Amino acid sequence: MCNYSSIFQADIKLADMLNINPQLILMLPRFNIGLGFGEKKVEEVCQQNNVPVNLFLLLCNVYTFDSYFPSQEEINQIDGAILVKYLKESHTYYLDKRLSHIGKHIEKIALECGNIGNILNSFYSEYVEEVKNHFKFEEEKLFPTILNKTSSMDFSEDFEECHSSIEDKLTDLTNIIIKYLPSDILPNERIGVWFDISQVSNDLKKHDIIEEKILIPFILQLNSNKNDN
Amino acid sequence: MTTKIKILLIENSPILLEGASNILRSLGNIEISKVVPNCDKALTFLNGYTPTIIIVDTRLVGYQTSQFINACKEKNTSIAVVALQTNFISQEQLDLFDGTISIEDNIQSIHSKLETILSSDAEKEGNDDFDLSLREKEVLIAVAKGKTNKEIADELNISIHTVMTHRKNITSKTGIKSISGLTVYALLNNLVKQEDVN
Repeated sequence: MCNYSSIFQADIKLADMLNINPQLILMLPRFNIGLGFGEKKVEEVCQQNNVPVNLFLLLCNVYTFDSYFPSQEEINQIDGAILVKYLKESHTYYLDKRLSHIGKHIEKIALECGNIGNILNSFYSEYVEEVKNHFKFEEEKLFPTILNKTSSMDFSEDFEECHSSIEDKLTDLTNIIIKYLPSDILPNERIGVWFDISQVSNDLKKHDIIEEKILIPFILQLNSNKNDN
Repeated sequence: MTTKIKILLIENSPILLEGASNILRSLGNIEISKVVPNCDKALTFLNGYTPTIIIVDTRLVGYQTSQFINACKEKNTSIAVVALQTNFISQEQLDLFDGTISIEDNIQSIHSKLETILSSDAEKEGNDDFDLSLREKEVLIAVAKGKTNKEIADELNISIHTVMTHRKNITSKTGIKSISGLTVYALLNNLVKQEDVN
């Protein structure tokens, strides 16, 4: 495996990139890129699937390298509609696949918890509701400003607060499940769900970073273009 | 509902008793639930009653300090035994107590000493509540019941800043940050009942 000290470029093989950061496999279904890509480079795979390579790489790089901040110039060049499509696909993946899967496990654990079970279930549904509301806000208020190129209100502060509140609840949930439920309640189920939560928690963190490093600067730029005209 | 801090005061001097009672009551949220003139009486009372703090005049413990403190802790490990220092007593003896109030202390420093004793000292090894102090538990219970920082500060007679410090400590000890997460924690540890929580 190559040792990449700098960010991913268009000529890297997709398989090599996934070896470096296996989490990036989650990018593929969000762009409708199938498996079986063999030894193809990222630029080739993108071309075949009608995915703009600059946006794909930008997302993969932000997802992988915490210290990487794309320049405003790079951000200005992306196709907003495709960015929105990617973010919406991610939302659907979280809600319909991951969170509903975790919810089923939580329900199973809650059944064994007596009175506390209801509280555990309602804690989780409260969390899911918060995530849904946040996604709804983005999809109804933010994304249309990109698609219609209209200006939006000032939002960035609430936005980050909301991200951290969603993240805190997920951390609380893992602590409750691992540290505080009585030890004899479905230990294997709890270990399983703990892995699921850690995975989705990492992915959600990256999703937040993508929104904060790419989506927000993109919208702010749209707003300032609008004001200039 | 306010949970008052119950104090058992061991004092036989009417002058000191009157003074100590007045000062302690002025701190609010404190109830002097028993006053006894000597240590033996105190120990018999402990059979049916658990104060939060025992304040004992050092003149009345004499050389029996460690025996007395051990006897109190045997009844209940969570009781804090605090010295009211009225005579000369060696530092080694003083160190055996959970805290010391001197008759020369002003009201403010008595207040802050009791505050420290309650937040750091009340829970030691052998408890099953993950080392939350008595005060932190009180704050946690109030949080679980949906009270605001301001309401908690008023109820416990401490500053909002202190409430926030307790909340930070609760979070760092439990790993739980959100209010709903803390509520689940409080329920799991039987600190609140389900009907108290909305």
